[in-house]
Amino acid sequence: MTCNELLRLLAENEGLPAEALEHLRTCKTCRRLHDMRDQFANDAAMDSAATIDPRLEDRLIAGVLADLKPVRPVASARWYATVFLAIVLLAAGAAIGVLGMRGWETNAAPQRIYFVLALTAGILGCGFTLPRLMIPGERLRIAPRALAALSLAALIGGCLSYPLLQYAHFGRAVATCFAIGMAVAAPLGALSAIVLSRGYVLALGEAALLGGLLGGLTAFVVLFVFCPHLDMGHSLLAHGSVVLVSALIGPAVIAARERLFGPE
Amino acid sequence: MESRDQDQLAELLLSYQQGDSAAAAALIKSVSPRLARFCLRQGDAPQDLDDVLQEIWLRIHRARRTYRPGAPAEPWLFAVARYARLDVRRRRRRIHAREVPAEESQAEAAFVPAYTASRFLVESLATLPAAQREVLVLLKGCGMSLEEVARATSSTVGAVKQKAHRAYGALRRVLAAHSPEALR
Repeated sequence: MTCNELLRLLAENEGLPAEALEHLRTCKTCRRLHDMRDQFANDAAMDSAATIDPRLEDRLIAGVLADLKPVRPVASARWYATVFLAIVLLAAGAAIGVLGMRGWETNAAPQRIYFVLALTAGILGCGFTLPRLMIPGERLRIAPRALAALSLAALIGGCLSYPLLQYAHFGRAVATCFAIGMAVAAPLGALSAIVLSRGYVLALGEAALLGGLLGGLTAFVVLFVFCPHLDMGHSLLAHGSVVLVSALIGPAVIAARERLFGPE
Repeated sequence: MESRDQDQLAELLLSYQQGDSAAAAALIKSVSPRLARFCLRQGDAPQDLDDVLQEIWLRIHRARRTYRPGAPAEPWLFAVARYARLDVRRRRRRIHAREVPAEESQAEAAFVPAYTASRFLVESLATLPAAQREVLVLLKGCGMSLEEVARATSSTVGAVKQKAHRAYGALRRVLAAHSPEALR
């Protein structure tokens, strides 16, 4: 067994197999590391007798009791996931109902399949991760930034599958689709923020990232179904940029607020 | 933490949610020393514990409705506590960047440790990046499992393992550069 393999086993936080114990017998540095780890855990066990200054304890208790009243626990993460996904379905359905489905009819089968899969995965990922950010101590299945990066990469990859075309009204078409996209993404992002406020969000930046991403992905769904401009430039600049801007605007606002006013 | 202690903590949290003042007091008495140890091992000064613990309990009080029955109690408490602690540190940095302190505060230590870890151990931990040190403190200092640390740090089990692996690697390099006598 190598030292690196032993480090991996220590990181697993389980008991050590015979191979690892044999390595500890022969490697002085790894043995010292293992002893240090045990010492740290032993210190913690002995520290269990430590106390807080009684005056501080009284102040902490008084502070809590001054405002103590019964509260109702928040709903489950699954319930909030349902709420987020319902909002997406309603917003997308309403927008598509108004704008039409020319884009869907114009797209070829491979693009339809690809984008349906990519967008569904992204939206479901956001829908199930956002509630976990609302409730402290909930386990995350995927890191929010990884989800955002994967979603954006998948969409950019799909947009690159279109040909590069030039036409006279390129600028106007990009501006129109971008405006439509933001008109879908912005209210949805705001609604997400309202739902998020029902919980207690600790990682504000990451919640804002995913809330914005959810709005952006929904907007992309609407644009994909509605817009008949099947070219790389338009897809990236008009549709893809909506997702990017929506995702980044929330964290940017939070970072600016913290810079100006400090943390909460 | 033993499952029996987790169950007791969960019961206290639920009673606290329902407005039981005795449960609230018992929870504070039971959990505060653990939170204090966590903060000290993360590098907070003993004289700052007063402010940090007050902020932590203020946040726990505001967040109490988000504790769900049946969920592990300790990761919930530490998840709120670590963000409160980080915000206090960021606030202090902003204040210190703008103000000149009139005199050094000689505030009494709010926490009386029963046992002091070796200086080498403490100094070695201080060399680690904050995220790696936090994972080791929660895993080995607070006795949490990988799953519990992932919940407490709003992270995934894989990310926690990776940080722990890097932390042990960094500590190993420190040890390789020092003699065995430094451990005593």
